[in-house]
Parts: sequence; C-alpha cells; structure tokens
Amino acid sequence: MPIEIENLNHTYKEGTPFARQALFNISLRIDDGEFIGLIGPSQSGKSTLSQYFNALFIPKSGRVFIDGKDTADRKTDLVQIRFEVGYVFQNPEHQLFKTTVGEDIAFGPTRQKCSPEEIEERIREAMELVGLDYETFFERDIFALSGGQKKRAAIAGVLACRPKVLILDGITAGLDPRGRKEILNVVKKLHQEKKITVILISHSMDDVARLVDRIITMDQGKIVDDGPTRKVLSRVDRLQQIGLEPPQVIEIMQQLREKGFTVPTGVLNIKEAVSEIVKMLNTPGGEQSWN
Amino acid sequence: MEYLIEFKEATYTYKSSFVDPVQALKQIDLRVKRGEFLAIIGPNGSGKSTLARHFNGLLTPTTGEVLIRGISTASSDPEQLKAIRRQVGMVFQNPDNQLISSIVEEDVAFGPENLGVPPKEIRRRVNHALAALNIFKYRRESISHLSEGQKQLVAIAGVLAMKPDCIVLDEPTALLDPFGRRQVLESLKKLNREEGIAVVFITHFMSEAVHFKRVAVMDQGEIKSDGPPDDIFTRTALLKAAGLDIPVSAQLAEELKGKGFPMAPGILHVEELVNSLCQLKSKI
Ligand SMILES: Nc1ncnc2c1ncn2[C@@H]1O[C@H](COP(=O)(O)OP(=O)(O)OP(=O)(O)O)[C@@H](O)[C@H]1O
Ligand SMILES: Nc1ncnc2c1ncn2[C@@H]1O[C@H](COP(=O)(O)OP(=O)(O)OP(=O)(O)O)[C@@H](O)[C@H]1O
Ligand SMILES: [Mg+2]
Ligand SMILES: [Mg+2]
Repeated sequence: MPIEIENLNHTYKEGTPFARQALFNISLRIDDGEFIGLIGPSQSGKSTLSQYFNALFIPKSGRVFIDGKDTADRKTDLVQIRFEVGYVFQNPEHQLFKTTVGEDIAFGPTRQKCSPEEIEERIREAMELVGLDYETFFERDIFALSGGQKKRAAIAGVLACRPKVLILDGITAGLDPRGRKEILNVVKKLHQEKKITVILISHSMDDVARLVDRIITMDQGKIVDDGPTRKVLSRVDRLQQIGLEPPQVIEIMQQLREKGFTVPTGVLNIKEAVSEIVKMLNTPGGEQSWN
Repeated sequence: MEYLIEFKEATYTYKSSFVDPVQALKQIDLRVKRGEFLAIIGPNGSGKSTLARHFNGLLTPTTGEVLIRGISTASSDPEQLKAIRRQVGMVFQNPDNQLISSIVEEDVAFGPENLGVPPKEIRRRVNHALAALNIFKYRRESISHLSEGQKQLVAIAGVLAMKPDCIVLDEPTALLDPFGRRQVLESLKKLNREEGIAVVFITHFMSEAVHFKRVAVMDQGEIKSDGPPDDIFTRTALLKAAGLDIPVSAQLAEELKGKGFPMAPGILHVEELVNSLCQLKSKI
C-alpha cells in the first residue's frame, strides 16, 4: 500500500491566536517495500507528518492517498488503514491503555476479529519478537513495567496487528542497546521476509545509516533532503546546518581527512570504516591528498 | 567524611495487590560525594529508575538505608523530608509526568515558588535556568505546543531553578535530538563545574556516559561495576554480558588492534582515535 502526499499543510490550533503551522507544502511518495529513515531536528514536523501516513490526521489542506484511497474521502475505511499501517508512538504512554501487557497486545488482533487461538499465537510471537518473557510479563500490569519494558510492550501491540507498513517514531528512545539492536534486526527481517514498508523516525544517525535505504530529512516543517542513505549522510555540512550530527563513523573519517589523510567519508558502518582505515594505513605515504 | 548520598545495603521489592512481588534492587552500596559527575548505565529492567527514586525518598528501601547528608530518607520528620527533596532534584524519563503549569516560565517557577523564594529571586532563577538550556525564547509559550524534546528541557530548567546540591536525571535525553542532547549534557557539565552541583545521569547512550567522571553499571538489581569511564568501557566482556554498547571509537580501535595495529590503550572519543591513527601513520 503506497503512500502519496500532495501539497500537504498542517496547522495546529488553526483559527486561534495559538495557531502554528507545522507542515508546509509537503509532497512525497513512499512505495511498497521501502525502508525509509525520516530524520530532522526536534520539532521539525516528523511526528506530525507521519500521523498522516496512517490517517490519524486527515488533511484539511493538501491530499493524502493510502493504497490509492483518499483519506479525506468519507468512504475510505480508516479503521482498516490504521491496522495495516502500524504506528509505534515516540512515547509508549500514549499507546498503552489496557491494564495488563497481555490485554494490551490482544487489543488490535481482537478488533481485527482474529480467533482466540490466533490472538494467543500472535501475542506469544509479538512478545518474543520484542524480548518480553511471556511467563513473566503476560499478566503484568502496565504500570509495573520499567520504561524500556513499556516501550517493548507498545511495539509488541503494533506487531501483533501484522501491519503492512510500520512507522517507528523514536523507537530507540528508552530501549537498552541490546534491545534496540535486536528489535531493529526484527524489523529488518520483517522488511526483508514479509516485504513490509518501514518508516524509521530516529535521532540515531548510526541506526539510520546501518538500516535504511532512503533518507528523508525535514527541517522547520519542510522536506530539505530526500535520497539514498549514503548520499544524504555524507552531506555533512547540510546535516550540521540544521543541528544534526553525522553518524560517528562518518565523523571519524571526516576528522581523518582534515588531518590530511586520503579516506572516503561516505562509510555507513564500522566494518566499512575499518576496511578504509586499514587501506589508508597500508598505503605508503598517502598523507597528502590533493582532492 | 560526610557523603552527599549514601546507600547502605539497600534493597527494594515492589509489592502491590495486583502484581507478584518483584525484587528490583539487591544489596546496593553506593556513595556519592559533593560535586560528583556520575552516569548510571544498564539494561532495561535492571533497576536504574528504582534506584533513582531512592535518591530523594520517593521510594524508601525495603531493607537497609539511604542517607542524604547523613539523614535517612525513611525519617518521619516532615521538615527533614522537605529538606531532602530540596537538596536532590529529579528529572524523569517522561516530561509529561513532570510538567504542571501550562506556560513554560510558570512551570519553571513552580518549584522555587513552593520553596517560598521571593518573587525577584524567582524571576532571576527562572531566567537563568531558561537561558542555560537555551529555551528563553519559548518562555511565554504554552507547553502543549512544544515537542517532546523541548518539554524535557523545560522539566530540567524547573529543577535547576530549585538550586539543588544534586540532580538525578532518569534518561533525560531519550527523546531529544542530537542538538538537544548535546545542549543538556553541556549544561549539566557547566552546572557541575561552575556551581558544584552533583549530577547522577541515567542513560542508554554510551556516547553520553563516556563524558562522565564516574560510570556505574547496573544489571539485575545490582551495581556490577563502578569506576572511571576509560576503565569501564574497556572491559568489553562485562559490557557485552550486560548487553551494553561499546562506544564507536573504542570498537574501531579494538577491531584495528585485532588486525595487528598497535593502537593507544583506552580510546573512547573520536579525537583520541584520530590522534592515535596520526601517530601510527607517522611511524609507518
Ligand atoms: N499538539 C500540538 N499542539 C500544538 N502544536 C504542536 C502539537 N504537536 C506538535 N506541535 C508543534 O508542531 C511542530 C512540529 O512538531 P512535531 O512533534 O511534529 O516535531 P518532531 O519533528 O516530531 O519533533 P521531535 O523530534 O522532538 O519528536 C512543533 O513546532 C511543535 O511545537
Ligand atoms: N510498580 C512496579 N511494580 C512491580 N514491578 C516493577 C514496578 N516498576 C518496575 N518494576 C520492575 O522492577 C524492575 C526494575 O525496574 P526499573 O524501572 O527500575 O528498571 P530500569 O533499569 O529503569 O529499566 P529501563 O531501562 O527499562 O528504564 C523491572 O523488572 C520492572 O519490571
Ligand atoms: Mg516527534
Ligand atoms: Mg528506567
């Protein structure tokens, strides 16, 4: 289910003295099976824009088509869209509203009219995917979870709906490094095996660099860059201009260049960086660079 | 000597009608001195937030004790408890649970107002805190207009305005962008350096923890190790066992060492890695 946005504007508190425009004339297209990173400084409009991707917001100015259906059209089944486009909120407290972990994860599949056996199976699967032990946590009250455990429960609730498009808003916030890696690997696997579309909204350039194929950069309610990962991330000046930092591996290469070494800056992970540094160390002389 | 904060064999077990008991802290012994700059890291559910809530008596230990400047957080004297709350400020993971007023500067003024600080002094403190966090221009804004990141800055400003001896921050940067994170870290460094405020900072970002003078690693309700960052982050086995990350520069240095290059020991920061590579290259 492709997502198409045409000339979208969004204003919070429209018509009041507190009105604030958060999106300006956004147009973009997301195709099936893409793995996209949506980056940008705080309050650049990432969360606002992505709430149009699953029809939580309906456009007043501009148009949004999900799977070819206009979300502003009354005949469009918005409930169905919200199951198929799963949204993991930045803040899990906005997402968890049932009493126990089990009930919360069951909520989506129940509304999707799954059989009790299927619901049970999906809960077990989702809890396993996010690293929450079934025996320990199935009956646990939501309020009796740690921050990262809440985040995991929220992600499980969305995965249990088996969405075709997955929006992860600030997924890494609150997860420990192992959990972050494991859950992102799960997402990557779902993307590769089930061909789901993933939109990763993240402040971690290292994660974005490692995972996504395309990056959309936002600043002050506008799209300021959109292209293949390596290209967008190696435009270091442009990132820094809007207050973002390149991934650390790129920063290291950048600093080596400033010291006069001939190394490329467009590396995306540690493996690539090591191989370039080894190449540099093994090249005799090679200190001066004229390019 | 008198410690600012002292945990003595403290344990904590969550008990309530609807949940089986969960022992979140086992035998914690921890001492924090004046002006310390301490980061606490550890996996989800390891007990960091539970520990944090003991620093100002929001929770009191099930067994053992926690002393703030020698006074037990389990004291029954309300004046002493009030003093403890004033001495140790808290900033939580989720700013929404912390913000009370609807306008930014009113929220920041809330704490000092409650302490009975005179209005002129409140104005001075509020302006100082807002400026320190670079949110002065939002002072008249409604908090509901702010994004998550900005809300967290307001929450931190609110604590700063109370002028505490120690600030405990539970993942204050989890929702911030890189710029906001750097701002928070820099402001905390400055407060620590210039005003001598002790900082206890819980984070999942190893890139932040390396900036602290002392790092404690929690796992399964215990403090598994505690020391300066160049010591902690070079104990790769320990970090891996706790599922924690090794800083990127340290990982790169380790990989290069594995390939036979004599890298300098204890590399944590980008500059250190780059310098070591420069030295290496000049020798080749
Ligand atoms: N409920 C709201 N009411 C009014 N204004 C809002 C609301 N939510 C967001 N805004 C404003 O809209 C703009 C965009 O915010 P948004 O939350 O989309 O940014 P973001 O890129 O997701 O930021 P962050 O990285 O901090 O999550 C900001 O100026 C913000 O203050
Ligand atoms: N109110 C509660 N009742 C019962 N158990 C709880 C409660 N709050 C937390 N726990 C449990 O206590 C343990 C420690 O939780 P705590 O919130 O201190 O972890 P944490 O290290 O802060 O984790 P995170 O990194 O996810 O924030 C966890 O196993 C958690 O499930
Ligand atoms: Mg957001
Ligand atoms: Mg916590």
